[in-house]
Amino acid sequence: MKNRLTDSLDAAIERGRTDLDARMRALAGKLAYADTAYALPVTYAVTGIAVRDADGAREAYRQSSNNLLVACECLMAGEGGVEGPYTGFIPDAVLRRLGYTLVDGSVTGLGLLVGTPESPDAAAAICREMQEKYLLTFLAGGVVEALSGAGVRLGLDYRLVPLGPQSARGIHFADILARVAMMFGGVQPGDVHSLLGYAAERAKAFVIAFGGLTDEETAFVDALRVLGIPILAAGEGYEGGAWIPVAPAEAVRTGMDLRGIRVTVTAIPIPMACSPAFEGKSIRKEEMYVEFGGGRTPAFELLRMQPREEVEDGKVTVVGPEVDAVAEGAALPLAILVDVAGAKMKRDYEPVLERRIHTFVNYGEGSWHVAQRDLIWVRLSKEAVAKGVRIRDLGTLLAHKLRMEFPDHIDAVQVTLVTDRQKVEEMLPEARAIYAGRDERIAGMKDEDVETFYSCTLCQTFAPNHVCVITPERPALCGAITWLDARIAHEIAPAGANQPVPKGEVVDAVFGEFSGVNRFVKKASHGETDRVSLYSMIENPMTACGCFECIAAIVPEVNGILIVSRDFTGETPLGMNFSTLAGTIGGGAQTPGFIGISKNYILSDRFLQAENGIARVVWMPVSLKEELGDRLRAKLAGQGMPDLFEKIADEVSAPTIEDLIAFLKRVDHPALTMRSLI
Amino acid sequence: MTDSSDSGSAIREVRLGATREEGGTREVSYVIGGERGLPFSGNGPERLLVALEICDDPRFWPPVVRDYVGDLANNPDEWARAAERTYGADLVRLNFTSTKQRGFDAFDTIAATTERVLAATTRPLIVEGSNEPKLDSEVFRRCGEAGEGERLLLGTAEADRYRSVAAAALAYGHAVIAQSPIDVNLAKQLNILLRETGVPQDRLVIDPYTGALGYGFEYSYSVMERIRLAALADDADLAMPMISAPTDTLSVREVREAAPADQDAMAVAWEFYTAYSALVAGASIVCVRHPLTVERLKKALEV
Repeated sequence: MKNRLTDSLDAAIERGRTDLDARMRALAGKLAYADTAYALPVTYAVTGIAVRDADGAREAYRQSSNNLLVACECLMAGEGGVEGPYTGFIPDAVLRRLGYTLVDGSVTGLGLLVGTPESPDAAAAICREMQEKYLLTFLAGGVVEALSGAGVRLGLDYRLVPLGPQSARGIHFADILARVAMMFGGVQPGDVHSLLGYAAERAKAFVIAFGGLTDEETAFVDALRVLGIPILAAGEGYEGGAWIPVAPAEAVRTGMDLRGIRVTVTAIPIPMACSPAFEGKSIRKEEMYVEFGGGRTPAFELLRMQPREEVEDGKVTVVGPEVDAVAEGAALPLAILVDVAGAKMKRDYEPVLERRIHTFVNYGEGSWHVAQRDLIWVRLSKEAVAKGVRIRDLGTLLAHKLRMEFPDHIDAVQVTLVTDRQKVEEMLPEARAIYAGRDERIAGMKDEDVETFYSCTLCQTFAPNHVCVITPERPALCGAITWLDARIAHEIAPAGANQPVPKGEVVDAVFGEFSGVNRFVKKASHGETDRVSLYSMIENPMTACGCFECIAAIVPEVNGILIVSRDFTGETPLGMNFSTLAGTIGGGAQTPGFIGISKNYILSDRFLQAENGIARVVWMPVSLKEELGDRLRAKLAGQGMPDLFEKIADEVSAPTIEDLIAFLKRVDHPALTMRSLI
Repeated sequence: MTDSSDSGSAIREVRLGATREEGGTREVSYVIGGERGLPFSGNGPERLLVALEICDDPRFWPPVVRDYVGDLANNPDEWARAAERTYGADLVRLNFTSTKQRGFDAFDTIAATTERVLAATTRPLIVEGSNEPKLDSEVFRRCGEAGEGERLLLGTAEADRYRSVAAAALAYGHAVIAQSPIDVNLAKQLNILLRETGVPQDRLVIDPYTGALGYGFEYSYSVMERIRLAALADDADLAMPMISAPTDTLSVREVREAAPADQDAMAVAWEFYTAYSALVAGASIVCVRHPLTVERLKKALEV
C-alpha cells in the first residue's frame, strides 16, 4: 500500500476499483448466502438478478454498470462465513426484527464503523454515544478487536453488531439496507431508482471510517455514498475526496445531523413538573418569589435562527444574578434569548416559534408568563424556588420543549437568560429593531407575492364540506391562523389540516378567483363547492364553518355592508343579532351576500375588493370600531378616506334600519352613490 | 347526495387471514370492502363480519361475559374454539389484556398465546396487542412474529402510537386497525401517517371509535357516514373498510345494574343494537364480547 498521507482518496478508490475488477474477472464457483430469500441482496435489489454463481455475478456486475457494491457483495459471497463472535451475513429472520425496530422507532438510525481506530478509547466513546442515541451500530475491521480490547461488550443486545474482522465485511451493512428496502419499503428487485430513494430518505445511515483501509476497502466504503450515506473520516489518509473529515468526538453528532436523526426526549431535567395541565394557572403576587418585566423592570424575549455551528444544543447560560441572589418579592430585569438552528429552519418561523415561549414557560408548574416581545411579564413561584427552581431551569425547559415540539425544524437550541440590568437595556434597541423588521415583513406580504395559499379543514369535523383558503391578505375566518401559521403548520404536520393550495391561473383578479383554488376546493369540499372568489361576498363567496370572528352582510336598503362581531350580542340594523346571522351562513354552504371573516381581514387591502372594499362598510358595533381603532383609521387615511371612520354607523348612532338610512344620508356615506350591489 | 356515489369510486378491498395456498394455515380467508355505495343500498358486496372478542387475562374483562363463559375465560384457545364452533363468530378478536398489569414483562407468553389461538381456530384472527405504549415495541413484535404469514388484523394504531403496529404489519405481512377519536380529519391523517410508514393502503381498516348506543354512539354514526361519503366522493385516504367495537356497551349503567336474571339479556340487547347500528353506519366488522350477541347479529344479518 502506498503512503496515504501524500496520496489522494480518489487515487486510492481508483486503484481499489481496478483490483476489484480484476477479482471479479477471476471469480469462480457457486455464490450464496444462507437463510435469505433475497439471494445476494444488494445485487438482487440493484439488478433484479438472483445471483447463484460467478458467471451470474459477472452478468449482474455488468448490468449494474460496474457498481462496486455489487462487486464487493459477489466477492464476499464467494468467501464463506466467519467465526464467532462475528455475525457475518445476517439471516432474514434476524433482519426482520432489526427492520422492525427501525420502523418502530426504537432504533433511530444505523451506523457502520470500519477501519482500525488510532485510539480504542475514542472508538469506545463513539459506541457509547451511539448506544445512548439509540443507533444500531455495525462494526467491521480492526475496530472490533480494538473495542473488545477496550472492554466494550458487543452483540445485538448491545446494539453493536460485529460483522467481521475485515472492513470489507461492511458489505453486509449494504445488504441489510437493501433487504430492509425490499421487505419494508416495497422496493421491487431491479428498481434501482426506488432503492436509492428509499435509502436516501428512509434508511438513516452513516459511516464512520477509521484509518487503515486497504484500497479495495476504501473503494467499497466510498461506493456506499451512492445510497446517500455520508462517509465521515475519523482517521487519517482519506483527504482529497468526498469524505467528511471529523474529530472522533464530533463524529456521531455530525452523522446524526447529516441524516436528520433525532432522539426524542420525554423528561425535562428540571425540579418542577412541566405539562400543558399547568398552562392556565396564575401565580399571584403573594405566591410569587421573583418577577421579571411587567412594567417593573425592562424585559424582553427574542428567538433567532443562527448558523448550526454557533448553537450548542441544550446549552443554557445565565448572565447576571440568579434567583437565590435576590430577596423574596424582588423584580429582576430579563432577556430571554433563544438561538435555534436547523436544516429546515427558516427566518419566517422565528416569530411563530417565539410565541411558543409563552406557552412553554406556562407549562412549568411554578413558572408563569404573559404577553410577548418587550412587554413580557414572568414570575417564578415561592414553592418552585423552594424546590430548587432557578432562572436557568426556564432555559432548560425552553430548549427541551422547542426540540420536542419541532423535531423536524430545530436541530439545536441554546438559551441565554440575562438578568443584568445594564446588559438587558443595551440589547433592547436591537431587539426592537428586529420586531419592527418582522412586522414589516408580514404586513408587507401580498397575495400576488406568493404562488401557494393554504387550506384549513380543521372544522370539517363539524362542517364536513367547509374549506378555508388562507392567503397572506386573508387570514382564516376564525382569526387564529395566518398564512404564515398555516405554512408552518403544514411543514410540521404535512398530513394535517393545512395543505398547500397552488394558486394556478388567475381567473379573475378583482374577485380573487384562481383555477388552482377552485380545483382544490372542489376536491376538499367533496364536490360541494367548485368555485370560490376570495375577495367577494356575492359571487361564489367562501363557505363558513361557524368559527368566524365576524359576519359581513349586505344591507340592500343602503347599498352597503355591515359587519358584526361575535362579542356583540345586540340586534343589527338587519333585525338579526350575531347568532341568528351565524345560524344562516355556517355549515359549509356558500351564502351569497353573507360571509364569515376574521377581524384582521377588515384591514386588508383585499377586503371584499369586488364590492369596493372598506368604503362599502356602513355599520359596525362600537366595540369592533374601538378594537380596530387606530389601525382602521390609518388604513382609511392611506386610502384617501380619512373621514370615513366617522361615517361608519354603530348601534348607538343607528340601531335600526331607518336610523341607518338617515345616518348615512346625513354623513353622505360613499356607499350610497356606488353601483348597486344587487 | 350528489351523483358522486355512482362515479365508480369504491372502498378498497382488504384481505384478512391466509389459507395454505396464500401462505398461512387458515381454512378460509375473508375479503372486506369493495362497496360502491352506502351500506344496505344494494351497491356493494356487503361482506359483513361478526367477531367475538376474547382476552388472555379475564381480570380485565366485563363480569357479565366472564360469568357467562365460565372456565373458558381462563383458556384463550378453548374460548376461541368455542367462539367459532359454538357461538358462530366469523372470527375472533384476541385482546392481550394481560399487558394492563403493572410491570408486565411476560413477552414470551404473548407469542405462545397467539400461536395457541391460531392453532385453535380455522378462521382469520384479529389481535389487539399492547394496552400500554411502553410495551408496544416488544408486544407487537411478538404478535407479529407469531402470526407471520397468517395476515392478522393487528390493532390498534393511533395518531401518537402507530409505529410498532405498523412495523409489525410491514415485517410480518399483517393488516392494521387505525383508530381515531370520532373525527374524520384525524382518521384521514392517521391513514396518511401509516401510508408514509409504508403500510399499503389495502391493509388498513378504519376504527372511528365509538361509545355505547345512548352514550354518544350518534357521533360515531355521523363520523362513519362522513368517512364513507368522503370515500365514495373519491377521497382515497378514507376509502378503507371500517371496524367498530362498541366495547363500552357492557359497562353502561343499565347493564351493570341490571337484576342478575336480566343481565345477559340486557348486555346482549345493548351490544346488539349498538353493533347493528354500526353496521348500518358502514362498518364491515363489528366486534362484540357477549357470545349470545354473536348469534343475534348473525341472525339479523341473514334477512
